[in-house]
Amino acid sequence: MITNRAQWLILLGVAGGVIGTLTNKGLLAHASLAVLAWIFGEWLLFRWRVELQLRHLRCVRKVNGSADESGTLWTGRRVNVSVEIIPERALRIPFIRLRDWQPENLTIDRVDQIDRADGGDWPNEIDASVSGRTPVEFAYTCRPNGAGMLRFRGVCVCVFDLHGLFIARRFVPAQQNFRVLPTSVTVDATHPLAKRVNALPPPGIHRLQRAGMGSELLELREYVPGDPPKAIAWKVSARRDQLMTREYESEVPIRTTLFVDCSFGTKHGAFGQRPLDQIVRLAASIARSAMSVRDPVGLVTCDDAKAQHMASGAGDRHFFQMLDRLSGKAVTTSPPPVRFTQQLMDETWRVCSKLHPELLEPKINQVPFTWFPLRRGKRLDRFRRTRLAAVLTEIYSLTPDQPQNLIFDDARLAEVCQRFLIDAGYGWTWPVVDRRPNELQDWHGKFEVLSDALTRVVARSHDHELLVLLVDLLDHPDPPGRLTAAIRLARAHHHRVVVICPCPDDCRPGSLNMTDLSSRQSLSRLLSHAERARRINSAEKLQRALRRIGVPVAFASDGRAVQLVLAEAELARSGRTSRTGSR
Amino acid sequence: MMQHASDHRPGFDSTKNVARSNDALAASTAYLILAGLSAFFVSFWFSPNDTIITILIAVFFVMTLGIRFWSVALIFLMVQVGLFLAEPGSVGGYSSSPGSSLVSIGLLVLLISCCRYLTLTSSPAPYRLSNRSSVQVAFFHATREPRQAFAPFGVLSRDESTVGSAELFTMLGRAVIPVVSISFMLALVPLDPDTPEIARLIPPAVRTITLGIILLAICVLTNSLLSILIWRKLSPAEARIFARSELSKWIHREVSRVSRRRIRFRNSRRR
Repeated sequence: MITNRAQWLILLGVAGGVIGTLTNKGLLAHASLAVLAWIFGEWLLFRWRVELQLRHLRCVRKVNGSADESGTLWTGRRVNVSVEIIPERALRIPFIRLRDWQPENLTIDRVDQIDRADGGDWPNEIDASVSGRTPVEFAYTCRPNGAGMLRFRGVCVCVFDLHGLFIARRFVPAQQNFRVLPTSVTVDATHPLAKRVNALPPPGIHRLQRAGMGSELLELREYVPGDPPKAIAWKVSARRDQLMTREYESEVPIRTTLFVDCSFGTKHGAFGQRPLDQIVRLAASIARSAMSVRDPVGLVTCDDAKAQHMASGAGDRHFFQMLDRLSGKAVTTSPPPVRFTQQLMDETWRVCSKLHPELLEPKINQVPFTWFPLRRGKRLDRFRRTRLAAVLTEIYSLTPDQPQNLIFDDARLAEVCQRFLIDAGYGWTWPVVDRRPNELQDWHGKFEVLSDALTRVVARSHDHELLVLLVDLLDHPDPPGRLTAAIRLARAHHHRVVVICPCPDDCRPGSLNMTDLSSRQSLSRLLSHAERARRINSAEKLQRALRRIGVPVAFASDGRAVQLVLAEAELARSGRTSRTGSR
Repeated sequence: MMQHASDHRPGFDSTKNVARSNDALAASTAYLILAGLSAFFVSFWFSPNDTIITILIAVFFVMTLGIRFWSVALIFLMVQVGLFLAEPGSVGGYSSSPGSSLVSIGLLVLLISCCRYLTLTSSPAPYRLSNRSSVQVAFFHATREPRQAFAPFGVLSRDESTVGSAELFTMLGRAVIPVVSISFMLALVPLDPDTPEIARLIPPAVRTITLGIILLAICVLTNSLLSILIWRKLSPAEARIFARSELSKWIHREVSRVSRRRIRFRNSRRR
């Protein structure tokens, strides 16, 4: 690409050359033509370097010291990335800017990079010279934002000449795919005080009155030959003048089943801020806490169409299989269709010009000239769309008639653009996904699937199990009758049911401070207040509705959500109805 | 503006990635000095009798650098105007004297120095900066601010704090080779003294046309050769897109008409 500076110099050089020649001013003509010759020489040299030499650059990236093409990362944990650009033959590129492609699901650390030689504003970027076979290296640290998939694509290369006359962009591929697993929060084990109280149970509630090896005394009975001597209650035996044996309650594990809502609404938003990210993090934390006390944990993932069951189990292997399943559900691969917008097209063009700049070059990707549309802006837009259609056809190996279809068919182009952006690592945010219409449409399907799954689990389960529903209910504070009926059924089978709701902005819906509001607030701030007020109202309504059927509600942003679940598990284990101690 | 290359910032590795020399002169300073000297040399041709005016013109040239990224073009324009006004038109055509070559070399050195200085101190990303930004960037560069200070302007930070003899040598080559080649070319124009009579044009017009044709031929030939070489190195994806776009030039009218009608038909069926 030629810069403004070069354009002006060429214009002046041509004008000076023509005027100098026509007016016989040899010095003017000579100097002007010399400038033109210099620019021409620079252009040849630049083109040689970009088109021929740049193809011999190779990129090797090491993630946490490994150059493997795939691996596993954890959300929020630091990842060390080092990139090496290796010339495969002796090259001379005096000025090159390298920037490792940053997927949306990645936050680059900027705090401890201040002391870098090149300043550290963009730690994944470096300006350098390539001389001979000396490789260029740079390193940075980053953190994955959300569970799912993380794909490193390669390095964006920007080549300048030293005089600022020309600029070119290329992309050196170095693809690595990583499965990102959710990081579980470590929670201190909770032992409710109620367990120490020696209270009699109210009638109609079943207790686990089976002899076992627990610590709670179940009963005293007469000694039977064969009983272990250490179980003999000597004081009681002396009082009754007869050998008595102590029997203890058995400590049985409580099966925990996690119902994870993976519907459309939970996947909307930037990575790390999606409701699904909160749900997955909480599910991982609950599973880890439960498994640490040897409780088996099962998993049911529900989307808008179907539910998938994972049998309960315990141990590290089962835990990692569960994380893998959760991570797989967090991958945003098949978004709902989106309508075509100019923003979608602009975003696709922007990403395409970074990932495939060589395919958008006018010399390669030529556009047949036309005078229509007559307005220049629209015509240029059509040219851009034609180029983009050609590149998308090539990337996705579409049929030869597809470029023309993409040019004129908005719906088809929107579909392919969306696919391209999702493949480039974009989350379900505007303009890639249009949230509202689809979400409202899918509400009922989601509740149907969830109710069915809950009923099926209840039918197959035993008494006193713990069912944790990690469901996005904030936008729907009145659960439909079928879901309420399924929850009632679970409660009737003496199961504990807990509902945990994700919060859109990771902020617990608490009380709203109305004193902050004044008429001078900006519109966006007022809208934010209104949204928060709506959320608080919904949360209160939801809590009221579910408490009526004996189901506690927690919010994902609340740090006590995991503790609440563990406390419920402890209650289920002890057979009590509340934490105050009544049985 | 003189800056020392030795950098004691923590973690700064001056030998990494960039081949540097041990010269203790900042690149921007060296380019600025060269620009000043060459500006003095070039402006000497406008006002040979008054040194003060010559120095003032040179200073004015250098100060122009602070305006905008493309201010090199402004300097070039001023030099052209100066040469146009100072030089009397010669009736007998060109005299490719060493003096004219020296002026051209001086002009090229001036432009190259200015270009490199501005590349180091301005933003090539959007290729434009406001006047205030440009001055501020120049100040940051002079005071050797860290890269964070340049970040809001999108300025290059090549961190090439020194200028090596190799770069100066290439600069000399860049200035001399075009001048020599143009001198050689001008010495050949007009090719035939009878051409003005045959073409029924004044000699300067013939010279201009001949020169234009020669330059165009050189450009086209070189470009074609380079394009052929590059074309052979295209990746499969690039080649496929190129072939498809070439084909669509022939049939795009018919195919687009078919596509449009198909979409219209499909939409009408939906209704």
